[in-house]
Amino acid sequence: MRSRHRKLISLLVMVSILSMLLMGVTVSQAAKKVSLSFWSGYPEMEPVFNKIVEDYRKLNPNVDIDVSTYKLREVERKLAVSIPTRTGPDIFQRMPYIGHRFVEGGYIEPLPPELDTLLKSKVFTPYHVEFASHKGKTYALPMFQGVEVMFWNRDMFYDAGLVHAPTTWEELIDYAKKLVKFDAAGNMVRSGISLRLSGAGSGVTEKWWFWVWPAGGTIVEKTPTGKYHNGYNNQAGREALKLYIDLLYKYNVDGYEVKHDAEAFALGATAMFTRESWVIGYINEHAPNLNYDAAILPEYRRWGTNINPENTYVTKKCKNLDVAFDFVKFMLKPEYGKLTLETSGWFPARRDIDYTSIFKETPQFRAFVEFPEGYGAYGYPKIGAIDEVMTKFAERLIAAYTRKDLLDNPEGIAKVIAEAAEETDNILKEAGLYGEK
Amino acid sequence: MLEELHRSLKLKSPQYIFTICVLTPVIAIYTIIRIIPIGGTIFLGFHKWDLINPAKPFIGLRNYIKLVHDELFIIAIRNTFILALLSIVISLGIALGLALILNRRKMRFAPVYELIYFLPFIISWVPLAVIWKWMYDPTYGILNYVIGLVGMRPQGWLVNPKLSLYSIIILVVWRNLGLATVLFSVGLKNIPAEYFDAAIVDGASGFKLFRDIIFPLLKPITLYLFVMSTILNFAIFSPVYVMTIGSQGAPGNAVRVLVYDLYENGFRYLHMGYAAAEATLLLLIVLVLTLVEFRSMRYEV
Repeated sequence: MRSRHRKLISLLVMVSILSMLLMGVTVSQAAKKVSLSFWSGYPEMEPVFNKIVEDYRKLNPNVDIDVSTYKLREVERKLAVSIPTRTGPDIFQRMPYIGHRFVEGGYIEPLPPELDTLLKSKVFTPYHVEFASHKGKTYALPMFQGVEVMFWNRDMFYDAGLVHAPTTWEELIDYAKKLVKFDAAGNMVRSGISLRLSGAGSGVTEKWWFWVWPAGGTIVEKTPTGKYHNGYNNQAGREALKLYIDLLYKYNVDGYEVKHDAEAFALGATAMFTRESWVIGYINEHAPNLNYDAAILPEYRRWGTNINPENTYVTKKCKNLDVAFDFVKFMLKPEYGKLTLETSGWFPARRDIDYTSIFKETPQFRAFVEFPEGYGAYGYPKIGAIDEVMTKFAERLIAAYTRKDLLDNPEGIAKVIAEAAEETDNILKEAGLYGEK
Repeated sequence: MLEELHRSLKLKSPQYIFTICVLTPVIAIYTIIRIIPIGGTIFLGFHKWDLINPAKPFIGLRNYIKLVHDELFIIAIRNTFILALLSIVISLGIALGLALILNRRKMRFAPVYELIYFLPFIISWVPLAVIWKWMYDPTYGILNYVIGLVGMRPQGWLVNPKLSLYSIIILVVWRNLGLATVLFSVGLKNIPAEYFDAAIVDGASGFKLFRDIIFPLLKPITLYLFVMSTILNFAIFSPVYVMTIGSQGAPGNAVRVLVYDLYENGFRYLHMGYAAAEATLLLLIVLVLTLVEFRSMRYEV
């Protein structure tokens, strides 16, 4: 009886020890479990992010990364509300002018030395370093970027006796005149060039930027004191607006009665238009048989394109910084760069990726990286007020585009530009960012 | 009398204890989700805050002074008044006409028509706006196809700033028509048949019957519809927001209404204090308009 009792006690003790050991292992495993949240404003990138997370989890089974993608403007609102209240993501992606607000507010972790070195290496450009820096520290790594090019429909061009995309403003006007098409009743059925004439937000100004910049202007200009003022109340600004008015009312190569943008291009309702590389992904999906190409933007007084990196930031809310930064570095592997390009059409920011196989398959991508000597780059400055500047200026441009009376009316054009420039400077003053020329 | 009232208000009465018990949670919830946010918004309107920076300096009436000089705010007020006024007048006018037709004695399948007219009202604004965006498409939209059949030139319904606000008004009228038609129908059905019979015996018919019998007796419903439509149309946002998205969307200023302007200032430009001041003005405008409507359409019970 006694021996049975002793056996039972021994068994109970053993079971208790084993249970405690098991619990200890489970607890220690649970302690190592890491959960991170990642937000992006590009739903088309979700398959890429999911693949990266899947691969990362194979190497780090204890790490859970929750990927959420929203529409661009939606993610900006969510970030604005959630990051200051520490309810936002651990990692997020957005352009520097949005991300920089949080850097200035002290909500973003600076890059650890290893990633700082990577950013400053030849893998990226000084342009990328500038967009990730604040007061001598770096805060972000760019994953992909928007590069603006001219898309042109090969078949329509050949039919009109044209063999390449316009390289100058003169060619642009001449080609658009040859490419525009009307029906028997005189209604435009195909625009020679699809201009961005409408829509709320900064897009209208952004597309106008591609013309004011080659003419020698820009939207806001940095002063030697580090402040800003409008960069378009000048000859360049007036010429860029005149170009639009002439294309609309003198040469009649675009109008409100036809479809616009990528949709129009895919449907054959326009012969050319300016946009970013995602259009290639869009056309692959919606118009795979379209015979088209992409080319660098036309030259005027200077030559260049608008490049805006999509930076990845780690917020101070993150409790596992080492894992978060390790994941950010993992995302930048060249294979994911290629996957980004193939899946979404967005161009990777790092420069050391071999695209030979992709270019063979989709030669249109060449225009996004193969720049001639002297071809410059410009982008959104890292100031929060730029969105307000661009959006409010866009509304003035939209109103101006409807004014036929601006045709051959240099005073009228100068007035529109001067009034808009005053508004831009006032926004900069209100934000404490204005500096005299 | 006063004593009686006093006595009746004594909490000893089980009915009053029950009433307080039932009302307290409701009032508490209402205070938390309505009164406190409204108070907070009014308070914020006197401060400058960018949502990201924790500093919220008090700036007195500066936001309000800036607002009354803000060109975009003036445009938003003008557009909101045009949208509200036109959509209310047009939708109530058409709805009353439809209700009169549907309530004729010989009208068959009237409930089926009412159901069809009412259906758009139960659909959320976002899918409706997306559908109408397709209908307004300049190249493939059904509207340009229809006007093309009668020899009219295609129009940029949304992208042309001269047309975009009216395009949104058409959508608002179309959506709200069903509710107004059903409510007017209910009102018409509740008018006792003897009134009509007596009026007809007295020689009234047509417009006179409408002016002296139908319209006065429909006043309570008309007032309700006026007040509700005013509040709803002044707070309109979703269709405007959806219609402005993308390169085929309407220009922001052409369709800028108060809530859209408020949203842009608050959540796009992060001028939270300024947006709060704008929200307070919107509250006052709707309040004043509602009172004016109540006074101008006062009716005897």
